[in-house]
Amino acid sequence: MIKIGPVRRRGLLVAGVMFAGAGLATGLRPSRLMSDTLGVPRLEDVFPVAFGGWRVDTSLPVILPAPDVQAQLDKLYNEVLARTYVNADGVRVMLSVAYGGDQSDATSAHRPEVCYPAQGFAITENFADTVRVAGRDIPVRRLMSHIGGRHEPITYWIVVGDRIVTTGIGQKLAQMRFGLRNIIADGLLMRVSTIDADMAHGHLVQSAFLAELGSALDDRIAARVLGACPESAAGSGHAC
Amino acid sequence: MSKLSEPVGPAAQARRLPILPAGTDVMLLGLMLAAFAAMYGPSYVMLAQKIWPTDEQGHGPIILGVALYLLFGKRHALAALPSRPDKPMGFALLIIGVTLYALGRSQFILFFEVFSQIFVLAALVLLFSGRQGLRLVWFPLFFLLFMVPLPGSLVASVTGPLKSAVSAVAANLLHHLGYPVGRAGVLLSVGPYQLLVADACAGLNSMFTLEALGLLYMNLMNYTHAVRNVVLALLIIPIAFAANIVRVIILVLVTYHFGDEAGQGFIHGFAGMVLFMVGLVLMLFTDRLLGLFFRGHNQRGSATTGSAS
Repeated sequence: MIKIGPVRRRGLLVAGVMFAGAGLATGLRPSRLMSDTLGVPRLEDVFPVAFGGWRVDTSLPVILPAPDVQAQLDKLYNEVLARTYVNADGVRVMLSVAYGGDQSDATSAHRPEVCYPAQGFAITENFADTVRVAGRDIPVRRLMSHIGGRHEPITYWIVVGDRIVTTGIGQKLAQMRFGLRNIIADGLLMRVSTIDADMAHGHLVQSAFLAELGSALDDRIAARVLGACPESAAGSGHAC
Repeated sequence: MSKLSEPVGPAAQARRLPILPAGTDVMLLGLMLAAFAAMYGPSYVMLAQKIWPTDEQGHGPIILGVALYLLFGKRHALAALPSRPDKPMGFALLIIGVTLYALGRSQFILFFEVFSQIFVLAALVLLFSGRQGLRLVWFPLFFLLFMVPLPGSLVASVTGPLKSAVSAVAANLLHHLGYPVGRAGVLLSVGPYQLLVADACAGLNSMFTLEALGLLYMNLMNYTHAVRNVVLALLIIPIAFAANIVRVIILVLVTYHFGDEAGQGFIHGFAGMVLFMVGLVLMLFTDRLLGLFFRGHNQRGSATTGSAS
């Protein structure tokens, strides 16, 4: 017969709380991959090679990332697309899209203000902005970077599940919002950049490029690239 | 716990303290260990498989080992304390810890998951021993902080500027010594070579590890003067910074004189060792200097060193 004194009774209570915590953690773990239900988008196919005034620039040699960078990319993303588009005036815009099916901790999309400096770039400007794409304002992050004499303005956003995020915390919160509903969110990083010492001009070119690109995407993929309509805008009759 | 496996003669055994303090409630201890294992067993499996093998978190198992060793050494002193449980505080900490754990473990927030064990352990001490007990074992519990993987975004936002600063100072020094060094951000060029100061070389982790070593050193030396400890702990930050600069300079010089392969091969690891040696020597030197300032206030505490370990 085991004697249960007050100390042991407290022990049972404490152990109960701890075992419950362990059970809760297992139970709350999301198990359904969003990418399994929606499918992994074939980035090569869903982004048109020519739209509006832009077409893929085939005159430039494709620059492959260094092997160590490539290894890191393969680990983080299921699909990566890197293209350079050019318009009739010879303006070039680099588009880079990365898709990852599992946005849980170790494999979530890397924000450019983190990975550009890792490649030796210095980030001199970093601010929030919006770009009008397909009839609505997409919240984006604008950066200015340079390495040596190469100046590269950048515009980017990240979609976690169906939400656009532009901060690290936002990314984590969006991932948790899905996670607590048993869904492992997927993520998509959209980044455009130009070589331009004039930051404002570069960002303007990028906005124009994104507006044309957005209207050239088909609806299904647009929802994943631009995020779902925010609830407030959905009822207001906007083209969304 | 490796002490258990040492073959010990009966004479030696008699002189040693028993593994469990007299009067331990084995059943209760077993229950607590089982509950702890149910929570953190899977976490440790994951840490061992995914986190500890990385460059950034290689110090994790060492921190854990040291903390366990220190805790193990305090077991008799802890058991000897009169039991005065602080139930409200204990249960509050327990709930906080378990909630953090459940959220962190289920939503892949490693920081919460590993951090929560400090709350849980502190709660157990409060619930079965009391505040005095917590005062006795606070250091090993606090030390566990150093094995908590920091959130990636925080590491990145600190590492970036740190890397730039380390590269800038290293490049300037080398330039003044007459080397053909150029710098663009964290990209150093020396002669025909280009070196990218990588994240792992940058120093947030080395800063962390040195800080951990410094605190351990102060603890083992039984320093009791709070101001002196805080000053030394703060000075370790510039010390680690300086050690990182030395490391980058070594790598640049090796690359310049012996070529790219030497710089990336054996020497790269060796420069890491040098970083810690430089850091430790600077730390001990700083400690001596502080000793001059704080003389009289701060004896080695030799009266209290007779701990069970």
